[in-house]
Amino acid sequence: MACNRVRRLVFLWIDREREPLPRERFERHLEQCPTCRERAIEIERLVLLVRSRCRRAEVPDGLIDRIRLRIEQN
Amino acid sequence: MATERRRTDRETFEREAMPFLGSLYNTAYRLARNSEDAEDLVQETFLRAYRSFDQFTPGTNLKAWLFRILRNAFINEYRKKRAAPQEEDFAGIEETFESRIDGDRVTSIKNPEQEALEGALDEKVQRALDALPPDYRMAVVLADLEGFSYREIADILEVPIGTVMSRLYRGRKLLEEELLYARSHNYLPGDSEPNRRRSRQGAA
Repeated sequence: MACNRVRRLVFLWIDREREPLPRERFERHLEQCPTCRERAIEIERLVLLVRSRCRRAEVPDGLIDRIRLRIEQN
Repeated sequence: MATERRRTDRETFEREAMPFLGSLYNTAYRLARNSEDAEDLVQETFLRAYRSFDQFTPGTNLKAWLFRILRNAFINEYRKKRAAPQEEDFAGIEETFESRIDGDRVTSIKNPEQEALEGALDEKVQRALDALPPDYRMAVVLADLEGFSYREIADILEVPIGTVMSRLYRGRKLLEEELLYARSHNYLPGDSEPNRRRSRQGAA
């Protein structure tokens, strides 16, 4: 599997999507190609950064009630 | 009789839809980038959802259905608020971002543990995310903050799966570039050149 194809597939692998990822060939390439492996690790780190570092925005106090009111008034 | 049914529908709707308020608000906040607009967006979303709840097929993916309404409400609001000059700015930002994507050159992100020690990592990542153009930002938020599958994101955004994949790919590359560029030029992500160009005041 060529490196440029692997680079495109990295996101599928990180996102745990099945189709159309040829998982075995992909992972074998990562084992054999340090450049692609390093790149995959970097991207994985980035995605983990986003997932772990974006704090959940707190729902403002009373929003549920305001929504209920609007629905009621509909 | 009609009133009875409406009340029941409201109870059913609230019971089923309210659990998603947190996720919807979180995404609305990432889209709108301030709490006031985020709240307006969420209220609008719930109202529209309630009004068209009879069109929702029970047993299907309610979360994705609600998110699709959120996304449409955002696009409507965004189009309303956008004046011509702002539209040019966004195109300018996209071009600048794109020109900084240097093929697939291998660059390294500092070890997250080190970044955490320096502090302000949360802010950096969030600012970089907020700086993404809306289409890319939405794809990244849906995938990485809300955990939707590509299929679900495609349903929400009403685009082909290929488009989802390409927006995620490009969105994450832009994110990476913004984080690296900001660090090497020693400012916070989001305060990149296009913003500087717009505001004549010196360094952020």
